[in-house]
Amino acid sequence: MFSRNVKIMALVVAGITLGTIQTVFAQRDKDLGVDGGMLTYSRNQPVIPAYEGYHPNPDGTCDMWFGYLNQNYREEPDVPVGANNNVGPKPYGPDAGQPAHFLPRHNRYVFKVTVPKDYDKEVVWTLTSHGKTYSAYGTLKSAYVQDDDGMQREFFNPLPTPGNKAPVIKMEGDNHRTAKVGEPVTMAAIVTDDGLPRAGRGGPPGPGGGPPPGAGGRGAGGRGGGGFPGFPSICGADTSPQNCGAPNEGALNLASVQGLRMGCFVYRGTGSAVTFDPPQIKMWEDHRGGSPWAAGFVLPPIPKDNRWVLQTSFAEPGNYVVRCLAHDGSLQTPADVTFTVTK
Amino acid sequence: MPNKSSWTRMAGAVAAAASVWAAAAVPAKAADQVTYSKDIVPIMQRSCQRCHNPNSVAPMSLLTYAQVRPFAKEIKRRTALKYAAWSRGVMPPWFLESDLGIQHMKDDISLSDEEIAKIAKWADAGAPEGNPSDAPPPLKFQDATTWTLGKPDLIVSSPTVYVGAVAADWGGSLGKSLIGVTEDRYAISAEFKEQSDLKTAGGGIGGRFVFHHAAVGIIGPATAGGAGAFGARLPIHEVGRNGDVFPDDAGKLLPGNGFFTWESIHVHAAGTPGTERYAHLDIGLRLHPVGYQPKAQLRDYNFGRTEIQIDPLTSNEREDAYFIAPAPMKLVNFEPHLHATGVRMCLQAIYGRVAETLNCAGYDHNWVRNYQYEEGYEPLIPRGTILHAIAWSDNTPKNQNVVEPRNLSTFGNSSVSNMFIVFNQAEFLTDDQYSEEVQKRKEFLALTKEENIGCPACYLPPAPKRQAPRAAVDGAPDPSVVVAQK
Repeated sequence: MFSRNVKIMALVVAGITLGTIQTVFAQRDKDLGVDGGMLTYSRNQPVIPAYEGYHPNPDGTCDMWFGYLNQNYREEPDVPVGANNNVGPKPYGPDAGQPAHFLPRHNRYVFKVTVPKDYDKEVVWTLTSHGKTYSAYGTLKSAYVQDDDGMQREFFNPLPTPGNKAPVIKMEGDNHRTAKVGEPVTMAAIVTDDGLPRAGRGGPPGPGGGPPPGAGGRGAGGRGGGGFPGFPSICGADTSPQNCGAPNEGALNLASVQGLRMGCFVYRGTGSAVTFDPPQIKMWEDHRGGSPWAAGFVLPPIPKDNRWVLQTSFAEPGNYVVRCLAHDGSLQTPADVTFTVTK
Repeated sequence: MPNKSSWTRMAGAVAAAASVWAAAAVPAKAADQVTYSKDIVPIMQRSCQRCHNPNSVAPMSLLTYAQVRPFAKEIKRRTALKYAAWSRGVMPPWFLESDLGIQHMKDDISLSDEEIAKIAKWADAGAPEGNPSDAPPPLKFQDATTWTLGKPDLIVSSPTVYVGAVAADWGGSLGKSLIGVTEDRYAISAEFKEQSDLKTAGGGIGGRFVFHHAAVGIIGPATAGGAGAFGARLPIHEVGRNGDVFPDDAGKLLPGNGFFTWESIHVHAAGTPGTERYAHLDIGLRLHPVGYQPKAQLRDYNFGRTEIQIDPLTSNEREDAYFIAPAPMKLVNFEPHLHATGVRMCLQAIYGRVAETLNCAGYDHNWVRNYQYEEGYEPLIPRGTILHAIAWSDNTPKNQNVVEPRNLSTFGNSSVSNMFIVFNQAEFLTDDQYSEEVQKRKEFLALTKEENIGCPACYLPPAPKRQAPRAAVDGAPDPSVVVAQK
């Protein structure tokens, strides 16, 4: 018994010490004038909730959209809904459907809270991770109003495609399921889209001085390659996006690859306990590579009959929410499946 | 003890001295007094009246003593904001920092320390008018179409947009407009002017203007479809931004029968009831004579950063961005572009192990400025130079441009989100052109004795002159002679 208590105490002390060291390191960087935004941390940084703006609905209500910035490029913290992860005031929280597992970097328009027209109070999402507490304050201040075009532009493409509709995703089977630890569960999603925006990397160039459409640059958003006519390009003869990248690519706007894709990830529950087969594409903004926001990314082919199938396995019992996100390059639609996993 | 006559003489001497003192003192007082007519009008004409006239953007006119007098204390306060952090709120709106970097800019409307002190002295003295005959003749303002850079030879208008009083931001293309020249011509300058039917400006960002920015491409007549496919653009227009005067040797090509493409337009509402309006942009172009041919091509080299993280309630948040010069470059301007949280940007040139600050400027999203180097002062940077932009943000209640400083602020296109872009233009030079420019700059520096900023090659000894190969005694070429490559 004594030995067990000592072990527990040692773990607590170690945890506190580790937390203190992490905080000290983060504060050290601040003291040195180095901001988190300029360093690509792998781990140990807190997640900051973000208010993305509100979208008026035809019935007069407004959707307040929230997202988050996980400052880590690798670590995916789990913060269960509760004291450290809540939305207020009632009746909008404390559980407003917010995530409890956090993918790396900026994830936009993750969940919404619908409020009446002329709602004059705040909806606040408060999140504590790595010992730091941040809040996002949702209001109906006029500067935050967004329409469909605005959401497209803000998120993925500075020149929205007129008439584009978000893809439609339908999960096969129940939205609430049970599963056994170690026994893969088949998930299937039927995703359809209007074909807009047109798939590919073209699109009119933004103000970035990039090459014209089809010249190999990431046209949308002016992320044109180093195409300076008459001069050797840093990209060499090959101006393909794979080889023609930063720093002269402009980086003026976010610019996702346009076209339909679908990926599933853990939305709630212990993320490290879940595996997907086949591995899912990154649905978060990794500008370094390997995501639709990075140079050189090629979309996986759309499966037969627009039916994405995957096997999901759980290594630990518990409650999970798996989110599957359909994305056309400008707008997105989520579908969530809740799992109760037992041994 | 002095006698009466002595007293009389002494009194006379004192009186004489007093009268001399008085005679000297009165003119001295008059000479020292700062008056509106003598001292303030020239300042107002140079730096204020361009906007503070009935047909311009400012909320009140400052053309006469009667108009200026009630604002004397406010003018003193606003001009002194040059010394505030980031010069935020300063009038005239010019935020270039004067203690570092290149100071020779075209169309510099900033006030000197002496002028600011003079305004303060005048306001503190009760803002005397002085003798109206001391004032220079009033400036002549034409009408609402008055152009800062001079009367245009050509005005090209965008399609008109309707902007509601409270509405979501809008971004996209507005199609194209015929430029209106039938043969290739070159522009001396380009100036944007937002026109609307709004009579009274609302508050906040976008109160006066709804066109947050406009990226305008130039396409030739045979170019089908693709915006900007001609590969050229005008310098970007941003809210409150001044116009561009292109270098004499690098006019902007306007192709005969070509078009301007309104390819990336961002419009936002004022957010104040009663400010809905119809609005469009006019581009005023002054043209070089027919037959003009530029020596160099001007083009943009915009760079920036999209992974922006500005934490809630923090100031002095810093972001960095880089650009590697693919060729020798003659930089034409410095145009910081941030959003509401932005307060300052600096541009450095890194030549190998040396970093040199070219410019720093405060930033106010209500007054986006474009600082254009005067001829002879443009940075001349060698190939491979790393241009390093540093931006600072203030996401606290002190920054009144920020709508909600308690919120995290990241990259986005709307005005409540952030951007970090350097909208710069440059002449991209061949090696020979670069050598010529450096030589010209050396001669200029020798004449002006100015500090050399932005021309590292100007410190180097002259390049070896071309020599004809000297025949060796035995008839073989002398290997010690390096023949310059043609």
